[in-house]
Amino acid sequence: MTNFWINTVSQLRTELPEQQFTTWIKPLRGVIQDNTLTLTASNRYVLQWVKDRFMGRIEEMALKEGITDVRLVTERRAAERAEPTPTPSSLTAPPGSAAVHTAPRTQLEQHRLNPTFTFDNFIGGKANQLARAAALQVAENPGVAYNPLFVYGGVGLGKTHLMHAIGNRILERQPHAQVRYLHAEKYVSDVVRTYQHKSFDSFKRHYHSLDLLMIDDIQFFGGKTRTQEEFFFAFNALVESHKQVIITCDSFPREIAGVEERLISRFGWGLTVAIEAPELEMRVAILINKARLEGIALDEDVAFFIAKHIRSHVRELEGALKRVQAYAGFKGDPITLQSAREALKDILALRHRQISIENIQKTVADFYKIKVSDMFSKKRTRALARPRQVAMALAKDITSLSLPDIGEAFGGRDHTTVLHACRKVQELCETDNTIQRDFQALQQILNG
Amino acid sequence: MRQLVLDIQPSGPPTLDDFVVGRNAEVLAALRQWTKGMGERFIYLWGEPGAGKTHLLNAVGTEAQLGSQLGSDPARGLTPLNLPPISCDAQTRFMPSDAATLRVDNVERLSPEGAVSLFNRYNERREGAGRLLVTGCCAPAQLPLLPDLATRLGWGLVLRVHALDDSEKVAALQSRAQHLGVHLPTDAARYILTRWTRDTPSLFALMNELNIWSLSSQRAITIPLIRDALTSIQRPAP
Repeated sequence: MTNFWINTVSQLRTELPEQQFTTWIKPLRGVIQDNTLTLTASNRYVLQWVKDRFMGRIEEMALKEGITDVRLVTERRAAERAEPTPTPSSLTAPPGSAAVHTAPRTQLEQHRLNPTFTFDNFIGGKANQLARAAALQVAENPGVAYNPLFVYGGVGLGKTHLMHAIGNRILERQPHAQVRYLHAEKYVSDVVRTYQHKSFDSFKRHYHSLDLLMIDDIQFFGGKTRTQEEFFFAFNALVESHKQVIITCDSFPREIAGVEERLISRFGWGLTVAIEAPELEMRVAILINKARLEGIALDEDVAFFIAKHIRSHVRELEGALKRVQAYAGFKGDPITLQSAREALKDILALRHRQISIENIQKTVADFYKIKVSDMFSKKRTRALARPRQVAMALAKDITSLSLPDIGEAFGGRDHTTVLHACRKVQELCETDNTIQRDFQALQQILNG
Repeated sequence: MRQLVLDIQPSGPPTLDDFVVGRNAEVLAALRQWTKGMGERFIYLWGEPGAGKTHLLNAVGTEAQLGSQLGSDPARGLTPLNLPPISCDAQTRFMPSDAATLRVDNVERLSPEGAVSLFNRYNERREGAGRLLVTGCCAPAQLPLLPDLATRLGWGLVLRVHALDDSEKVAALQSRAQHLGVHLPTDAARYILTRWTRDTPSLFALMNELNIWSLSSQRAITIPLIRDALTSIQRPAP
């Protein structure tokens, strides 16, 4: 039991992302006494975060070791309890019940910012330089520079990161600022709850008293008139009293569907900036930075290879890096260009789709410049028979149809004809470069 | 006259061990890690229908019931882990939002509301503890879903489940036959492959039918028996 906390920490290291583990779990100190695990957090913000997100898992692991009570205290409280008196009731506490000593509702609970999203680890480039500069301005002069700041761009390009970075920077400079980040969906459910409980006063008091309100993905407000109305009042109240509002969206304000005109025109009062898809150099930098943060050894040529092929957004880039790392880990080899190519083969080469036999027949007929009807005809001249055989072999490779079904689709032929065609094409692929090249090209065309 | 067969065929919940590996060794290794609460927390499996995604998803549930701990909900403490995967076919159903470990099958069939719901659950888990296993018919970039959700699914570990090739299908059929307690000669397995719909579920369903056919006619499974059986068994729609 004495090693319990050390084991728990190692287990959580495997379960959580590195950044979360380092920020929240690693600094905790655990002491076990009388079947009670006391965890000491450096301050009440950390305590609240751990309580909200990780307590259940820690309790579960504790229970397996026979520890029935898990307490969470801050350093200050721990010092007050320097002479602990054993609590006999802790031994008889029902399993899973945790006496958590928490501070009252904390600031962290209110602002919901992710402390790992900062300007320092936001990779800049041509695609986001304007947005980044505007965000820095807002962070330096909230409520003055650009109000509201409206950041738009496709998914996975770093809008949320930028928003959190502004919030974190403002909190650094003004620790008592009333900051609130929330996803538009959460705002909608807050409004719904307010209507259910008729708690309009507390809702208004909360949102109208903020120094910084950040709403992510405002396109989720589309078609929700009550939410838009409440937000309209909150927006006016905040902007009029020079409090900062930051909004992100997947499209330009004028293109948001189902949002009232009066809101859309207000979005344009401040500054509207776009974040575009990252260019090649930026994608390479993102990969190298991510690999460094995760402790992955990634050569520049591998990063360049991934960045060259994954062009859409940062999430897909990071997903690709994860795939490359997992593949190398599975093989027990370091990450190389070859292993990266192998790992991403499916994602790069396949735009997977259901391919019908008609599609195969048409593609092959187009490729060999013959008529589609020749696929079903009884003619057996080589100029027609060879493409037909190739199409049959492709149908066997790509679809799940049985050989009699394939034969049927080629003008009611017998399954043995299909079998012969498949064998013939396989044989020709080994001996005839032209057929091999044609077959591979067709496979590529059909697989997308 | 044919012998009647008692409906007591061996069957059990799917496990990772009875999955025919083929080219999916990496997928299996990642899922074993996942069931132990280790490795990447967000896994997305994709592949063609019949490749075995649902089997894997259910097998992970079986492993959890066998005792592996998957996780728990940070807000409510321990939660039951033996929850079924979400069925999205008729109507989107989610497991209770307090289940830290979520499994979602056929994500491409989610309704728009279901996609928003999964999006929120993804975000909750990403911010805190919890794991998510999702299967779909295509790579995340091609998913016909809310882009915010599709891109997030591509953010974790994306693995393709490869369907079996012909020689692997012969082995799989023979292993299935062995599981049913009958012997299937290799030439008979090849005979089936050239005459029947070749996706794995159809082949396994045929194998079950052949087993019943063999028991009721009291004949071993040979090519002549298969030939007789195939004339009577209704072929699945292509």
